[in-house]
Amino acid sequence: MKGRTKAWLRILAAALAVIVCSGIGLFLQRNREGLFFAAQKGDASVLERISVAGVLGDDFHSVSFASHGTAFTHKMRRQVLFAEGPAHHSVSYYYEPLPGTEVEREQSVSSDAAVGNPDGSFSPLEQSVLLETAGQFLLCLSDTQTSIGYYPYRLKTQVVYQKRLTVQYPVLEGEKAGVPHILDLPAGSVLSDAARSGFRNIVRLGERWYAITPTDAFCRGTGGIYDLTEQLGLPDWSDHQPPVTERENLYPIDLEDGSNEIVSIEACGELLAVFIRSNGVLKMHIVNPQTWRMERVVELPGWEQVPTYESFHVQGGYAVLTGRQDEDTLPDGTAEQALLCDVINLREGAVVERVRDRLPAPGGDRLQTAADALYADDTLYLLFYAGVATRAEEARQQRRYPYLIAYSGGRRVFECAVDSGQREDARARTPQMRDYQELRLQKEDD
Amino acid sequence: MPNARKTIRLTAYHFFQMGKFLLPLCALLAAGSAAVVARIFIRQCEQRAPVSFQSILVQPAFFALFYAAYAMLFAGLLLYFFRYVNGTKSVYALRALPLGAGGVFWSILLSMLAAVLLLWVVQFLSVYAGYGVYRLAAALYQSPGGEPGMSRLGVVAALPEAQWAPPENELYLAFVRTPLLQLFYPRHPFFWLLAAAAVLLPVISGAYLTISFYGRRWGAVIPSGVAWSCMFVCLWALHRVGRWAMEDLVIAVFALLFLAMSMGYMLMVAHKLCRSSNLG
Repeated sequence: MKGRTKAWLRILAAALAVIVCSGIGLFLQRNREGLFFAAQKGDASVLERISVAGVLGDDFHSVSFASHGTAFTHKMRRQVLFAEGPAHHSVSYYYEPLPGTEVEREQSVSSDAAVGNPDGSFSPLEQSVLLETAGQFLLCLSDTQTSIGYYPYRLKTQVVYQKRLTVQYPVLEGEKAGVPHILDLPAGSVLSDAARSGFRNIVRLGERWYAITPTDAFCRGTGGIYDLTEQLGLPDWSDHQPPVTERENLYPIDLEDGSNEIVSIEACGELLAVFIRSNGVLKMHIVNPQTWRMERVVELPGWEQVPTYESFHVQGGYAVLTGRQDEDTLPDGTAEQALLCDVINLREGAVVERVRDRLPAPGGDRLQTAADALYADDTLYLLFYAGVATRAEEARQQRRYPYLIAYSGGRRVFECAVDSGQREDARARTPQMRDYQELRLQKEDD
Repeated sequence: MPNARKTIRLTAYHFFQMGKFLLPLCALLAAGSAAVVARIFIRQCEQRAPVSFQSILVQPAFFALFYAAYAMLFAGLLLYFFRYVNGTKSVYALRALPLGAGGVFWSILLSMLAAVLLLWVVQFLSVYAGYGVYRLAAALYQSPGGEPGMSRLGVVAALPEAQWAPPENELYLAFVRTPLLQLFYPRHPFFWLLAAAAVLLPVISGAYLTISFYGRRWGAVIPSGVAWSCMFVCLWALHRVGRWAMEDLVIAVFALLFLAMSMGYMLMVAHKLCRSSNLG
């Protein structure tokens, strides 16, 4: 009996020892992610002056990393159960015929809608619609419309859309209901679905949210900047159409019969940058939100053929604007792309470096949006996401990784990729691909 | 002779009596895990598709093995102790010890805890055993001089690439990125509590059911059922780390709270019933 008790106690002790020792062994592996700069080309000494930092992770596990020279350090991050992303808002337009404008109304039947069948197929559904045709539309800033056609808020602007358009409204019990649809909208219009998602038309500065009135060649009147902080605090669901409200236009911009097109707004430290295309030429207005006066205007030639820029980063008193332009068509039917990049000194209001380069395709992958940019010591550092060229694979198996390019005097002097165990996720089909997030470039002495 | 020592002796007796089904169960689990890993690895090789250890661990076969062993252990504990409290020839001598009802109760609880803990460790080690098989196979497929697709053991398998070495921290990643294995390597207070509950629930509900059924209190299945339902809700939560909505988080936290309350209730009632019974 005594021997049995001893044996039982030994088994228990051994079990506990296994748990503790294995836990320690696993814990020691937590920071062995194997991050390194891969496929280096050019003068690697530029890495000594900067640090590439970010987070590599998935829903279960993530590590934060930072480079120091050519080496990386990384640290396991605390596990979180409920990941809340940063606040994000979009702005789109609510439109209605301008009061006093002649409106032609016509009842019709549309078969655009479809109803699902039990076998998974869809059958066209005839729906009563109301067609309203007018030549001028009043534009109000708003958030995305709900499925029953209500908006969270409607803020009247001084912009009028001047083009004859027909708007189709679904009709339910004799009343307009649901989401309207414009039948003959020109491509690239600010009223289109693509514009609805909002390309940088709202920005947060401190605790306040400022939105611009994006415009195109059919917009007339006065555009500008509006403070939407109070509107964004409203609930995003409503059981009635809210009244149209008015607020002060903080920075009026004369659209000059459509020759001025307001493109976007960005935060520049404590200032705001408003991008306006004047007769095709892109200009950056640096606006002080304390006085709502324009402090400087920077003309950006060379962006005439580019519909819009891709990324805008501000660091150390310099703003870096990047975009791309299609060049030759490759054998696979895709276009080879050229990088356009302007570095703007915000204090002087001048372009200090301009890069025009053919974008590299590391290992057949394509460079995606620039995650961060830094101009320091007369060298421009661009940190891109690089990813697979094809979209055939499932989204979760698409690997994207950081790719760093350094330019000095307009010439590419260095490039490399950041590699890690993420490559194994893709190669060995790990259930959930880890992704690089929060990528940033810093001066090494920062 | 102090009562505590007698309780420990009775606990050890129970543990080794249960060992008749516990040890084969553990051996089967470890062997099954290794077999599952090897089978999936070789099948993937034949399909020329590389596979990570983490991919193997999320296969349904692995989950089934784990949960089946857990359920078998719980059923085995219930059966053993129900036979014990209803009297069998082999335990009459022990029952005759002047132990008191409290001693009997603690011997049941401690021996059950030891059995669950042992299975827990074997579950944990079976992952290591599976990883050993995986690592060995991966090494064989890239051994120097070996023909691509042919291991030295003669297992025919097509290799997607010549170099195929799992990353250095793959075992760690397998533990932290596989939902079920977070119970064995918890890194968040929620999972620490869940792991503790997963160990204690079979023990407490097992003791509670045994003693209640001895007194023909069949209604005991209700608190036990509530506790196990809460456990299943929490296990569901295991698979949703980082992707929770606020309502998911509230449900999981409430489930854990109810689970803790149910376990506390069962422990208290079992102790009370045992004292008022003639078990001692």
